[in-house]
Amino acid sequence: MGKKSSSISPALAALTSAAMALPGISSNVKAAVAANEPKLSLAYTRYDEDSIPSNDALSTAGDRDRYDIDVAQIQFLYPLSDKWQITTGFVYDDMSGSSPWFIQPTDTLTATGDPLVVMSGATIDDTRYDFSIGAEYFGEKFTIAPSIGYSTEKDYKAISGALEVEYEFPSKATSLRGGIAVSFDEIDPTQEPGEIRVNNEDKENYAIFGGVTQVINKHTILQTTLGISYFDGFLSDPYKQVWLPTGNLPDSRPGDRTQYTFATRLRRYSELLAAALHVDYRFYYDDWNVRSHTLDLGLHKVTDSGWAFDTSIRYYTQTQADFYEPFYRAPRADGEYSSDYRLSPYGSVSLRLGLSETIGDWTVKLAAERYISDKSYSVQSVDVENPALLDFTQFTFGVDYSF
Amino acid sequence: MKNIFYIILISIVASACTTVNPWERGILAKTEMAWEPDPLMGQLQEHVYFSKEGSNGGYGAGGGGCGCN
Repeated sequence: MGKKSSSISPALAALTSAAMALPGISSNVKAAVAANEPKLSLAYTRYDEDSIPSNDALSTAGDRDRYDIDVAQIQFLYPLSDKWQITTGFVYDDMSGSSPWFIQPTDTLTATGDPLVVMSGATIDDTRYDFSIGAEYFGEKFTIAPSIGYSTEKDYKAISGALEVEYEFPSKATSLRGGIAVSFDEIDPTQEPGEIRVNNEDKENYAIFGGVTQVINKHTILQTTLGISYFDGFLSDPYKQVWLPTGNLPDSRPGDRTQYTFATRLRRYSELLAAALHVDYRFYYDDWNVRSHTLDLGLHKVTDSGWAFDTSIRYYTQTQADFYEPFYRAPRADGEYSSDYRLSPYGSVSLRLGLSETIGDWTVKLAAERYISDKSYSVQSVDVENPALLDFTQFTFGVDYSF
Repeated sequence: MKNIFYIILISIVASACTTVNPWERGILAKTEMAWEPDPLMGQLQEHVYFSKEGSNGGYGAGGGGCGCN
């Protein structure tokens, strides 16, 4: 297999780069032809959730530490020919910590006051194994990419599949892309004495998306995508409860959910900064009445000496689900309950930094992210903040090797 | 309503486009101009946001769920 461009002149590298772009714009989405050499990527990530602040948790509720997760990722890309390549992936998650169980008011007799988190009693330990394999075919006009995946952990299994197709117009300035995805998940919660939890539930997901990619000028490219995703089955969290004056009830959500997304991504190269500006925006809406906006702004710079630097800031805000309350003062007629912070109104900001260096066939990568969420970051006014809102930090170390 | 918005957006974008010859696309092919310059890290980010936020999806086909809570 050939070596990387570190051994060729800058002029030849520029010509090679332009030649690779000749087939059109698919090269910006995926390579327009299969990779010319196998590539192995390894990464280790340490993910740490902040503990629940003491004034937001019931003082007698035990451990306020949330999840810490060690994540190992392996990906191997292998070109079979100039038309075909396969990518296999493996992810190992090792999770440990406590999770918010339910939320109760400071005054339980009158069901008034501030919400306080009660955490799951014992530390939860679990491991997740995720296997995936995908193929990509690069035709004259079409790129076709089928993939399948399997994820398993102590109480959860998921098998998924997807097919993506991209068609490039003869002008090579516009391409249409679309795809379908399915997932079949099985939930078998760990049972605890004294707790009533479901047994052997399942859920299904069917998704479809379509979009267009357009070269705007020689410095700018834009992609927009519309998507619909339908979930059916057990969509509740079997380990969460909600508080009512008459006693706790299990988290109980509707049996189906339809999600709609509009997403657009812009890449603009600045000659002044010799760097690429990334702008990603997504609008999301679902029939639980959750609406969200996500804006991600990034700057990516690669130097001639092989260093790459990227930084980005991401803003996220969502509204609450129809049936969400931090705690309930009375039973609901529809029987739907959840105090999960993920269905509460809030906003979040995260900052990411990444640095990598490529020397010959090796690339060494470091990255860090700090994520904080708060009711004050929401675009809408939030009366009562869910006290289990998440803050986390993660660090990643990775290595790529091209054969 | 969304379809109308989409059509209008495409029209605006298309009208703003200039012809870019194949030999002028070197910049568009740069690594830093990719939708996801580092697929492995992008995959991890998507999984974290999928697990920890109330909404997900948007840019393509996703994988299966998980018991992450």
